Amino acid sequence: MNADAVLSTPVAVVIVAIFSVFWVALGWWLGRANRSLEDYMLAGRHVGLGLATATAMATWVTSNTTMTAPQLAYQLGIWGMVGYSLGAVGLLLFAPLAKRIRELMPHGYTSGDFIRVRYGRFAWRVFLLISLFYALGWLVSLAMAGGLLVEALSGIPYAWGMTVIVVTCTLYTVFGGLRAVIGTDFVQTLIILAGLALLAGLVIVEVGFEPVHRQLAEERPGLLNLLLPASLMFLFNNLLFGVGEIFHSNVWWSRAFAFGEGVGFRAYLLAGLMWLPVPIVAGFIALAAPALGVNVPSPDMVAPLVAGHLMGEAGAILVFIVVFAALASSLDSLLAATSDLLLNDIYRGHLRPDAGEAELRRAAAWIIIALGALAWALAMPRLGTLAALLHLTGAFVASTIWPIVFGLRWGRGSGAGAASAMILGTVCGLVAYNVIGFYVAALVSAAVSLVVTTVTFQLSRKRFMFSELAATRATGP
Amino acid sequence: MTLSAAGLTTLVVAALAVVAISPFILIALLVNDLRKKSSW
Repeated sequence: MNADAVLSTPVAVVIVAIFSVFWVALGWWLGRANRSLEDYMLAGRHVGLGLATATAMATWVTSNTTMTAPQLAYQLGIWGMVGYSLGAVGLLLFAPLAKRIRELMPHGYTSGDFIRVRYGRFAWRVFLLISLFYALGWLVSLAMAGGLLVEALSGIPYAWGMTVIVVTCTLYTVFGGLRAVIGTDFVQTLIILAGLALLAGLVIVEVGFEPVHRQLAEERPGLLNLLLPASLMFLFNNLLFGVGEIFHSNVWWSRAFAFGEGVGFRAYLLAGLMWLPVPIVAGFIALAAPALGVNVPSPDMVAPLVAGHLMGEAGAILVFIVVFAALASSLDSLLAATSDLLLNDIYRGHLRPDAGEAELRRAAAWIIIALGALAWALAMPRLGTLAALLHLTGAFVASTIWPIVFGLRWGRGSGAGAASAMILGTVCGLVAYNVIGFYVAALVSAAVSLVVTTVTFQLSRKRFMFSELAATRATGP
Repeated sequence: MTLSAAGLTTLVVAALAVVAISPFILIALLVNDLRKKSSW
Protein backbone atom coordinates (compact mmCIF):
# COMPACT_ATOMS: atom_id res chain seq x y z
CA MET A 1 0.00 0.00 0.00
CA ASN A 2 1.38 3.40 -1.00
CA ALA A 3 1.24 5.85 1.90
CA ASP A 4 0.77 8.76 -0.54
CA ALA A 5 -2.28 7.19 -2.22
CA VAL A 6 -5.05 9.77 -2.44
CA LEU A 7 -7.83 7.70 -3.98
CA SER A 8 -9.62 5.08 -1.93
CA THR A 9 -9.32 1.57 -3.30
CA PRO A 10 -13.08 0.93 -3.72
CA VAL A 11 -13.50 4.17 -5.74
CA ALA A 12 -10.55 3.24 -7.95
CA VAL A 13 -11.95 -0.24 -8.54
CA VAL A 14 -15.35 1.23 -9.55
CA ILE A 15 -13.72 3.69 -12.01
CA VAL A 16 -11.56 1.00 -13.56
CA ALA A 17 -14.56 -1.33 -13.88
CA ILE A 18 -16.83 1.32 -15.45
CA PHE A 19 -14.27 2.51 -17.99
CA SER A 20 -13.05 -0.98 -18.82
CA VAL A 21 -16.61 -2.13 -19.62
CA PHE A 22 -17.27 1.10 -21.55
CA TRP A 23 -14.16 0.84 -23.75
CA VAL A 24 -14.71 -2.85 -24.48
CA ALA A 25 -18.40 -2.30 -25.31
CA LEU A 26 -17.60 0.71 -27.52
CA GLY A 27 -14.85 -1.22 -29.29
CA TRP A 28 -17.17 -4.15 -29.93
CA TRP A 29 -19.95 -1.85 -31.17
CA LEU A 30 -17.62 0.01 -33.56
CA GLY A 31 -16.15 -3.25 -34.83
CA ARG A 32 -19.55 -4.56 -35.99
CA ALA A 33 -19.04 -2.77 -39.32
CA ASN A 34 -15.93 -4.84 -40.11
CA ARG A 35 -16.51 -7.11 -43.09
CA SER A 36 -13.02 -7.82 -44.44
CA LEU A 37 -9.41 -8.05 -43.31
CA GLU A 38 -8.90 -4.55 -44.75
CA ASP A 39 -11.76 -3.26 -42.56
CA TYR A 40 -10.23 -4.93 -39.50
CA MET A 41 -6.65 -3.76 -40.10
CA LEU A 42 -7.22 -0.39 -41.79
CA ALA A 43 -10.80 0.65 -40.93
CA GLY A 44 -11.80 0.43 -44.60
CA ARG A 45 -9.23 3.09 -45.73
CA HIS A 46 -11.81 5.95 -45.58
CA VAL A 47 -11.30 7.54 -42.14
CA GLY A 48 -12.44 11.21 -42.14
CA LEU A 49 -10.56 14.28 -40.87
CA GLY A 50 -12.18 14.50 -37.41
CA LEU A 51 -11.49 10.92 -36.39
CA ALA A 52 -8.10 10.96 -38.17
CA THR A 53 -6.87 14.03 -36.29
CA ALA A 54 -8.13 12.72 -32.96
CA THR A 55 -6.53 9.29 -33.36
CA ALA A 56 -3.14 10.76 -34.35
CA MET A 57 -3.36 13.14 -31.43
CA ALA A 58 -4.54 10.56 -28.87
CA THR A 59 -1.99 7.95 -29.87
CA TRP A 60 0.85 10.44 -29.43
CA VAL A 61 -0.55 11.60 -26.07
CA THR A 62 0.58 8.58 -24.11
CA SER A 63 0.80 7.96 -20.42
CA ASN A 64 4.41 9.01 -21.01
CA THR A 65 3.12 12.45 -22.01
CA THR A 66 0.92 12.75 -18.97
CA MET A 67 3.39 11.15 -16.53
CA THR A 68 6.91 11.42 -18.03
CA ALA A 69 6.51 15.02 -19.27
CA PRO A 70 5.80 16.16 -15.69
CA GLN A 71 8.67 13.94 -14.51
CA LEU A 72 11.04 15.60 -17.00
CA ALA A 73 9.79 19.07 -16.07
CA TYR A 74 10.47 18.18 -12.44
CA GLN A 75 13.98 16.86 -13.25
CA LEU A 76 15.14 18.99 -16.21
CA GLY A 77 13.00 22.09 -15.76
CA ILE A 78 11.60 24.31 -18.51
CA TRP A 79 13.57 22.66 -21.30
CA GLY A 80 12.40 19.27 -20.07
CA MET A 81 8.78 20.09 -20.83
CA VAL A 82 9.48 22.23 -23.91
CA GLY A 83 11.83 19.52 -25.20
CA TYR A 84 9.12 16.92 -24.70
CA SER A 85 6.66 19.12 -26.59
CA LEU A 86 9.01 19.07 -29.59
CA GLY A 87 7.84 15.49 -30.03
CA ALA A 88 5.09 17.24 -32.03
CA VAL A 89 7.65 17.95 -34.79
CA GLY A 90 7.47 14.26 -35.70
CA LEU A 91 3.73 14.54 -36.36
CA LEU A 92 4.16 17.78 -38.32
CA LEU A 93 6.96 16.40 -40.50
CA PHE A 94 5.08 13.15 -41.06
CA ALA A 95 2.18 15.08 -42.65
CA PRO A 96 3.76 15.35 -46.13
CA LEU A 97 5.14 11.82 -45.82
CA ALA A 98 1.65 10.46 -45.03
CA LYS A 99 0.39 12.06 -48.24
CA ARG A 100 3.26 10.59 -50.23
CA ILE A 101 2.84 7.13 -48.64
CA ARG A 102 -0.91 7.07 -49.46
CA GLU A 103 -0.19 8.11 -53.07
CA LEU A 104 2.69 5.69 -53.62
CA MET A 105 1.09 2.70 -51.88
CA PRO A 106 -2.72 2.90 -52.18
CA HIS A 107 -2.96 -0.82 -51.33
CA GLY A 108 -0.15 -0.97 -48.74
CA TYR A 109 -0.65 -2.40 -45.24
CA THR A 110 2.50 -1.77 -43.20
CA SER A 111 5.74 0.20 -43.02
CA GLY A 112 7.43 -3.18 -43.58
CA ASP A 113 5.80 -3.35 -47.04
CA PHE A 114 7.64 -0.19 -48.03
CA ILE A 115 11.07 -1.26 -46.74
CA ARG A 116 10.75 -4.71 -48.34
CA VAL A 117 9.82 -3.44 -51.80
CA ARG A 118 12.10 -0.40 -51.68
CA TYR A 119 15.24 -1.95 -50.13
CA GLY A 120 14.89 -5.74 -50.33
CA ARG A 121 14.63 -8.54 -47.80
CA PHE A 122 17.81 -8.00 -45.70
CA ALA A 123 17.05 -4.35 -44.93
CA TRP A 124 13.43 -5.39 -44.34
CA ARG A 125 14.51 -7.86 -41.65
CA VAL A 126 16.82 -5.33 -39.96
CA PHE A 127 13.94 -2.85 -40.01
CA LEU A 128 11.53 -5.40 -38.56
CA LEU A 129 13.92 -6.15 -35.68
CA ILE A 130 14.22 -2.45 -34.85
CA SER A 131 10.51 -1.80 -35.26
CA LEU A 132 9.38 -4.78 -33.20
CA PHE A 133 11.90 -4.04 -30.43
CA TYR A 134 10.65 -0.46 -30.27
CA ALA A 135 7.00 -1.54 -30.30
CA LEU A 136 7.58 -4.00 -27.50
CA GLY A 137 9.55 -1.41 -25.48
CA TRP A 138 6.73 1.10 -25.88
CA LEU A 139 4.07 -1.48 -25.03
CA VAL A 140 5.91 -2.54 -21.87
CA SER A 141 6.50 1.09 -20.84
CA LEU A 142 2.76 1.80 -21.28
CA ALA A 143 1.76 -1.27 -19.30
CA MET A 144 4.22 -0.31 -16.55
CA ALA A 145 2.88 3.26 -16.51
CA GLY A 146 -0.62 1.88 -16.01
CA GLY A 147 0.42 -0.22 -13.04
CA LEU A 148 2.42 2.63 -11.49
CA LEU A 149 -0.44 5.08 -11.86
CA VAL A 150 -2.98 2.82 -10.25
CA GLU A 151 -0.62 2.06 -7.38
CA ALA A 152 0.37 5.72 -6.87
CA LEU A 153 -3.21 6.92 -6.80
CA SER A 154 -5.16 4.18 -5.13
CA GLY A 155 -2.78 1.76 -3.46
CA ILE A 156 -4.06 -1.08 -5.66
CA PRO A 157 -1.02 -3.34 -6.19
CA TYR A 158 0.98 -2.61 -9.36
CA ALA A 159 0.38 -6.07 -10.80
CA TRP A 160 -3.42 -5.80 -10.58
CA GLY A 161 -3.69 -2.32 -12.11
CA MET A 162 -1.33 -3.18 -14.93
CA THR A 163 -3.21 -6.41 -15.67
CA VAL A 164 -6.64 -4.75 -15.91
CA ILE A 165 -5.40 -2.05 -18.31
CA VAL A 166 -3.61 -4.49 -20.62
CA VAL A 167 -6.57 -6.91 -20.67
CA THR A 168 -9.10 -4.13 -21.39
CA CYS A 169 -7.14 -2.72 -24.34
CA THR A 170 -6.42 -6.17 -25.73
CA LEU A 171 -10.10 -7.13 -25.60
CA TYR A 172 -11.52 -4.14 -27.45
CA THR A 173 -8.73 -4.18 -30.03
CA VAL A 174 -9.45 -7.86 -30.70
CA PHE A 175 -13.20 -7.21 -30.98
CA GLY A 176 -13.09 -4.14 -33.19
CA GLY A 177 -9.70 -3.87 -34.92
CA LEU A 178 -8.59 -0.40 -36.09
CA ARG A 179 -12.19 0.93 -36.15
CA ALA A 180 -12.45 0.29 -32.41
CA VAL A 181 -9.05 1.86 -31.86
CA ILE A 182 -9.88 5.02 -33.81
CA GLY A 183 -13.39 5.39 -32.37
CA THR A 184 -12.26 5.01 -28.76
CA ASP A 185 -9.29 7.32 -29.47
CA PHE A 186 -11.72 10.13 -30.30
CA VAL A 187 -13.50 9.89 -26.95
CA GLN A 188 -10.20 9.43 -25.12
CA THR A 189 -8.74 12.58 -26.77
CA LEU A 190 -11.62 14.68 -25.50
CA ILE A 191 -11.19 13.29 -21.97
CA ILE A 192 -7.41 13.88 -21.97
CA LEU A 193 -7.60 17.46 -23.26
CA ALA A 194 -10.48 18.50 -21.01
CA GLY A 195 -8.87 16.87 -17.94
CA LEU A 196 -5.47 18.48 -18.50
CA ALA A 197 -6.98 21.91 -19.14
CA LEU A 198 -9.03 21.63 -15.96
CA LEU A 199 -6.06 20.56 -13.82
CA ALA A 200 -3.70 23.22 -15.15
CA GLY A 201 -6.43 25.83 -14.76
CA LEU A 202 -6.83 24.76 -11.16
CA VAL A 203 -3.08 25.06 -10.48
CA ILE A 204 -3.21 28.62 -11.85
CA VAL A 205 -6.27 29.54 -9.77
CA GLU A 206 -5.20 27.81 -6.54
CA VAL A 207 -1.45 28.52 -6.62
CA GLY A 208 -0.78 31.12 -9.34
CA PHE A 209 2.25 31.73 -11.56
CA GLU A 210 4.13 34.02 -9.18
CA PRO A 211 4.31 31.56 -6.22
CA VAL A 212 5.22 28.67 -8.54
CA HIS A 213 8.02 30.75 -10.07
CA ARG A 214 9.22 32.15 -6.72
CA GLN A 215 9.38 28.74 -5.06
CA LEU A 216 11.23 27.25 -8.01
CA ALA A 217 13.73 30.13 -8.05
CA GLU A 218 14.40 29.60 -4.32
CA GLU A 219 14.41 25.80 -4.04
CA ARG A 220 15.39 24.55 -7.50
CA PRO A 221 16.71 27.45 -9.66
CA GLY A 222 18.24 24.99 -12.13
CA LEU A 223 14.75 24.16 -13.39
CA LEU A 224 14.32 27.73 -14.66
CA ASN A 225 17.77 27.85 -16.27
CA LEU A 226 17.43 28.26 -20.03
CA LEU A 227 21.02 27.25 -20.72
CA LEU A 228 21.23 23.96 -18.78
CA PRO A 229 23.46 21.88 -21.15
CA ALA A 230 21.85 18.50 -20.38
CA SER A 231 18.39 19.99 -20.96
CA LEU A 232 19.40 21.51 -24.29
CA MET A 233 20.82 18.19 -25.45
CA PHE A 234 17.61 16.55 -24.28
CA LEU A 235 15.59 19.02 -26.35
CA PHE A 236 17.29 18.12 -29.63
CA ASN A 237 17.49 14.46 -28.70
CA ASN A 238 13.78 14.33 -28.01
CA LEU A 239 13.02 16.06 -31.28
CA LEU A 240 14.93 13.41 -33.22
CA PHE A 241 13.56 10.62 -31.06
CA GLY A 242 10.01 11.73 -31.82
CA VAL A 243 10.73 12.00 -35.54
CA GLY A 244 12.30 8.53 -35.55
CA GLU A 245 9.44 7.00 -33.59
CA ILE A 246 6.81 8.36 -35.96
CA PHE A 247 8.65 7.96 -39.27
CA HIS A 248 9.35 4.27 -38.83
CA SER A 249 6.50 2.97 -36.69
CA ASN A 250 3.65 1.10 -38.24
CA VAL A 251 1.33 2.88 -35.80
CA TRP A 252 1.63 5.95 -38.05
CA TRP A 253 2.02 4.18 -41.38
CA SER A 254 -1.14 2.11 -40.84
CA ARG A 255 -3.01 5.37 -40.20
CA ALA A 256 -1.57 6.88 -43.39
CA PHE A 257 -3.05 3.86 -45.22
CA ALA A 258 -6.34 4.03 -43.29
CA PHE A 259 -7.11 7.75 -43.67
CA GLY A 260 -9.28 8.73 -46.64
CA GLU A 261 -7.72 10.24 -49.75
CA GLY A 262 -6.38 13.73 -49.06
CA VAL A 263 -6.97 13.42 -45.29
CA GLY A 264 -3.52 12.31 -44.05
CA PHE A 265 -1.64 15.56 -44.60
CA ARG A 266 -4.23 17.77 -42.87
CA ALA A 267 -4.84 15.27 -40.04
CA TYR A 268 -1.16 14.93 -39.07
CA LEU A 269 -0.60 18.69 -39.34
CA LEU A 270 -3.56 19.50 -37.09
CA ALA A 271 -2.70 16.72 -34.65
CA GLY A 272 0.88 18.06 -34.36
CA LEU A 273 -0.30 21.60 -33.66
CA MET A 274 -2.77 20.40 -31.04
CA TRP A 275 -0.23 18.06 -29.40
CA LEU A 276 2.56 20.66 -29.12
CA PRO A 277 1.20 22.41 -25.98
CA VAL A 278 0.11 19.24 -24.14
CA PRO A 279 3.49 18.40 -22.48
CA ILE A 280 3.90 22.07 -21.48
CA VAL A 281 0.54 22.03 -19.72
CA ALA A 282 1.27 18.64 -18.12
CA GLY A 283 4.80 19.78 -17.13
CA PHE A 284 3.52 22.96 -15.52
CA ILE A 285 1.38 20.86 -13.16
CA ALA A 286 4.60 19.20 -11.91
CA LEU A 287 6.40 22.54 -11.47
CA ALA A 288 3.77 23.44 -8.89
CA ALA A 289 5.01 20.65 -6.58
CA PRO A 290 7.60 22.75 -4.65
CA ALA A 291 5.11 25.61 -4.15
CA LEU A 292 2.54 23.16 -2.83
CA GLY A 293 5.08 21.39 -0.60
CA VAL A 294 4.20 18.03 -2.13
CA ASN A 295 6.43 15.15 -1.08
CA VAL A 296 7.52 13.37 -4.30
CA PRO A 297 9.01 9.95 -3.47
CA SER A 298 9.43 9.02 -7.14
CA PRO A 299 9.59 11.68 -9.92
CA ASP A 300 7.39 9.71 -12.31
CA MET A 301 4.50 10.07 -9.84
CA VAL A 302 4.73 13.86 -9.51
CA ALA A 303 1.63 14.75 -11.62
CA PRO A 304 -0.88 12.50 -9.84
CA LEU A 305 0.52 13.55 -6.48
CA VAL A 306 0.12 17.26 -7.29
CA ALA A 307 -3.44 16.69 -8.55
CA GLY A 308 -4.31 14.67 -5.47
CA HIS A 309 -2.83 17.33 -3.19
CA LEU A 310 -4.73 20.08 -5.00
CA MET A 311 -8.17 18.52 -5.43
CA GLY A 312 -8.19 15.66 -2.97
CA GLU A 313 -10.17 12.67 -4.15
CA ALA A 314 -11.75 14.56 -7.09
CA GLY A 315 -8.26 15.40 -8.40
CA ALA A 316 -7.13 11.84 -8.01
CA ILE A 317 -10.22 10.62 -9.89
CA LEU A 318 -9.63 13.16 -12.67
CA VAL A 319 -5.96 12.20 -13.17
CA PHE A 320 -6.90 8.56 -12.94
CA ILE A 321 -9.44 8.91 -15.76
CA VAL A 322 -7.14 11.09 -17.92
CA VAL A 323 -4.16 8.76 -17.65
CA PHE A 324 -6.35 5.69 -18.13
CA ALA A 325 -7.60 7.30 -21.38
CA ALA A 326 -4.06 8.25 -22.41
CA LEU A 327 -2.83 4.73 -21.72
CA ALA A 328 -5.68 3.05 -23.55
CA SER A 329 -5.48 5.34 -26.59
CA SER A 330 -1.82 4.46 -27.13
CA LEU A 331 -1.85 0.85 -26.01
CA ASP A 332 -4.70 -0.06 -28.37
CA SER A 333 -3.00 1.68 -31.31
CA LEU A 334 0.25 -0.07 -30.61
CA LEU A 335 -1.42 -3.45 -30.24
CA ALA A 336 -3.29 -3.01 -33.53
CA ALA A 337 -0.36 -1.67 -35.55
CA THR A 338 2.21 -4.10 -34.17
CA SER A 339 -0.11 -7.04 -34.75
CA ASP A 340 -0.52 -5.77 -38.35
CA LEU A 341 3.27 -5.83 -38.70
CA LEU A 342 3.50 -9.32 -37.20
CA LEU A 343 0.62 -10.57 -39.34
CA ASN A 344 1.69 -9.02 -42.63
CA ASP A 345 5.46 -9.13 -42.39
CA ILE A 346 6.15 -12.13 -40.15
CA TYR A 347 3.17 -14.49 -40.42
CA ARG A 348 2.32 -13.84 -44.07
CA GLY A 349 5.74 -12.57 -45.15
CA HIS A 350 7.83 -15.34 -43.62
CA LEU A 351 5.66 -18.22 -42.42
CA ARG A 352 2.44 -18.54 -44.43
CA PRO A 353 2.77 -16.68 -47.76
CA ASP A 354 -0.29 -18.47 -49.19
CA ALA A 355 -2.61 -17.81 -46.25
CA GLY A 356 -6.14 -16.78 -47.28
CA GLU A 357 -8.18 -13.89 -45.89
CA ALA A 358 -10.13 -16.01 -43.37
CA GLU A 359 -6.93 -17.48 -41.93
CA LEU A 360 -5.28 -14.05 -41.73
CA ARG A 361 -8.35 -12.60 -40.01
CA ARG A 362 -8.21 -15.34 -37.35
CA ALA A 363 -4.44 -14.98 -37.00
CA ALA A 364 -4.79 -11.21 -36.53
CA ALA A 365 -6.96 -11.71 -33.43
CA TRP A 366 -4.64 -14.33 -31.95
CA ILE A 367 -1.58 -12.15 -32.57
CA ILE A 368 -3.19 -9.23 -30.70
CA ILE A 369 -3.92 -11.55 -27.76
CA ALA A 370 -0.37 -12.98 -27.78
CA LEU A 371 1.13 -9.48 -27.95
CA GLY A 372 -1.00 -8.31 -25.03
CA ALA A 373 0.11 -11.36 -23.03
CA LEU A 374 3.79 -10.76 -23.85
CA ALA A 375 3.61 -7.08 -22.83
CA TRP A 376 1.90 -8.11 -19.59
CA ALA A 377 4.58 -10.73 -18.80
CA LEU A 378 7.46 -8.31 -19.48
CA ALA A 379 5.88 -5.49 -17.48
CA MET A 380 5.23 -7.70 -14.46
CA PRO A 381 8.81 -7.54 -12.97
CA ARG A 382 8.63 -3.69 -13.06
CA LEU A 383 12.16 -3.24 -14.40
CA GLY A 384 13.73 0.25 -14.65
CA THR A 385 11.99 3.60 -14.69
CA LEU A 386 9.62 4.70 -17.44
CA ALA A 387 12.00 7.28 -18.88
CA ALA A 388 14.96 4.88 -19.00
CA LEU A 389 12.98 2.31 -20.95
CA LEU A 390 11.62 4.97 -23.28
CA HIS A 391 14.98 6.52 -24.09
CA LEU A 392 16.78 3.25 -24.72
CA THR A 393 14.61 2.71 -27.81
CA GLY A 394 15.65 6.16 -29.12
CA ALA A 395 18.97 4.71 -30.29
CA PHE A 396 17.08 2.22 -32.44
CA VAL A 397 14.32 4.29 -34.02
CA ALA A 398 16.38 7.39 -34.89
CA SER A 399 18.52 5.22 -37.20
CA THR A 400 15.51 4.59 -39.47
CA ILE A 401 14.65 8.25 -40.19
CA TRP A 402 16.96 8.85 -43.14
CA PRO A 403 16.55 5.53 -45.01
CA ILE A 404 12.77 6.20 -44.93
CA VAL A 405 12.92 9.89 -45.88
CA PHE A 406 15.51 9.40 -48.64
CA GLY A 407 13.79 6.24 -49.83
CA LEU A 408 10.42 7.92 -50.18
CA ARG A 409 11.83 10.91 -52.07
CA TRP A 410 14.70 9.71 -54.25
CA GLY A 411 15.14 6.66 -56.45
CA ARG A 412 18.79 6.11 -55.55
CA GLY A 413 20.09 4.00 -52.67
CA SER A 414 20.59 0.32 -52.04
CA GLY A 415 19.31 -2.22 -49.54
CA ALA A 416 22.84 -2.72 -48.20
CA GLY A 417 23.21 1.03 -47.68
CA ALA A 418 19.88 1.33 -45.85
CA ALA A 419 20.64 -1.69 -43.67
CA SER A 420 24.13 -0.33 -42.85
CA ALA A 421 22.65 3.05 -41.88
CA MET A 422 20.17 1.38 -39.51
CA ILE A 423 22.71 -1.01 -37.96
CA LEU A 424 25.58 1.51 -37.54
CA GLY A 425 23.20 4.23 -36.31
CA THR A 426 21.73 1.91 -33.69
CA VAL A 427 25.11 0.61 -32.48
CA CYS A 428 26.59 4.12 -32.14
CA GLY A 429 23.40 5.38 -30.47
CA LEU A 430 23.62 2.58 -27.90
CA VAL A 431 27.29 3.32 -27.22
CA ALA A 432 26.41 7.02 -26.69
CA TYR A 433 23.52 6.01 -24.41
CA ASN A 434 25.91 4.08 -22.17
CA VAL A 435 28.96 6.34 -22.35
CA ILE A 436 27.37 9.82 -22.33
CA GLY A 437 23.71 9.56 -21.32
CA PHE A 438 20.13 8.93 -22.45
CA TYR A 439 19.81 12.46 -23.83
CA VAL A 440 22.19 11.84 -26.76
CA ALA A 441 21.20 8.31 -27.86
CA ALA A 442 18.77 9.37 -30.61
CA LEU A 443 20.98 12.33 -31.59
CA VAL A 444 24.06 10.17 -32.25
CA SER A 445 22.03 7.41 -33.91
CA ALA A 446 20.35 9.85 -36.33
CA ALA A 447 23.65 11.61 -37.12
CA VAL A 448 25.49 8.37 -37.96
CA SER A 449 22.52 7.10 -39.98
CA LEU A 450 22.39 10.40 -41.91
CA VAL A 451 26.06 10.17 -42.88
CA VAL A 452 25.81 6.52 -43.99
CA THR A 453 22.53 7.09 -45.90
CA THR A 454 23.87 10.20 -47.67
CA VAL A 455 27.11 8.49 -48.71
CA THR A 456 25.42 5.28 -49.89
CA PHE A 457 22.75 7.23 -51.83
CA GLN A 458 25.47 9.30 -53.52
CA LEU A 459 27.50 6.22 -54.46
CA SER A 460 24.52 4.16 -55.59
CA ARG A 461 23.92 3.72 -59.33
CA LYS A 462 20.61 1.92 -58.82
CA ARG A 463 17.38 3.72 -59.74
CA PHE A 464 14.27 2.50 -57.98
CA MET A 465 10.99 2.66 -59.91
CA PHE A 466 8.36 4.03 -57.51
CA SER A 467 5.62 2.40 -59.56
CA GLU A 468 6.73 -0.92 -57.97
CA LEU A 469 5.26 0.29 -54.67
CA ALA A 470 1.79 0.79 -56.14
CA ALA A 471 1.46 -2.93 -56.81
CA THR A 472 2.68 -3.96 -53.34
CA ARG A 473 -0.32 -6.08 -52.42
CA ALA A 474 -0.90 -7.48 -55.87
CA THR A 475 2.47 -9.23 -55.94
CA GLY A 476 2.75 -10.06 -52.22
CA PRO A 477 5.92 -10.85 -50.24
CA MET B 1 19.91 32.91 -18.14
CA THR B 2 16.71 32.24 -16.21
CA LEU B 3 13.09 32.18 -17.32
CA SER B 4 11.16 35.04 -15.71
CA ALA B 5 7.74 34.75 -14.10
CA ALA B 6 6.28 36.65 -17.08
CA GLY B 7 7.93 34.20 -19.48
CA LEU B 8 6.54 31.23 -17.60
CA THR B 9 3.08 32.81 -17.56
CA THR B 10 3.11 33.52 -21.31
CA LEU B 11 4.33 30.01 -22.17
CA VAL B 12 1.75 28.22 -20.03
CA VAL B 13 -1.22 30.47 -20.89
CA ALA B 14 -0.57 30.07 -24.64
CA ALA B 15 -0.26 26.30 -24.30
CA LEU B 16 -3.37 26.06 -22.13
CA ALA B 17 -5.42 28.10 -24.60
CA VAL B 18 -4.65 25.64 -27.41
CA VAL B 19 -5.34 22.61 -25.20
CA ALA B 20 -8.67 24.08 -24.08
CA ILE B 21 -9.93 24.89 -27.59
CA SER B 22 -8.79 21.63 -29.25
CA PRO B 23 -11.76 19.45 -28.14
CA PHE B 24 -14.18 21.89 -29.78
CA ILE B 25 -12.22 21.82 -33.04
CA LEU B 26 -12.22 18.01 -33.04
CA ILE B 27 -15.97 17.83 -32.41
CA ALA B 28 -16.62 20.35 -35.22
CA LEU B 29 -14.48 18.28 -37.62
CA LEU B 30 -16.30 15.07 -36.69
CA VAL B 31 -19.72 16.69 -37.13
CA ASN B 32 -18.59 17.93 -40.55
CA ASP B 33 -17.44 14.40 -41.49
CA LEU B 34 -20.73 12.91 -40.32
CA ARG B 35 -22.72 15.45 -42.35
CA LYS B 36 -20.71 14.51 -45.44
CA LYS B 37 -20.96 10.81 -44.46
CA SER B 38 -17.15 10.56 -44.63
CA SER B 39 -16.28 9.63 -41.04
CA TRP B 40 -15.30 6.04 -41.95
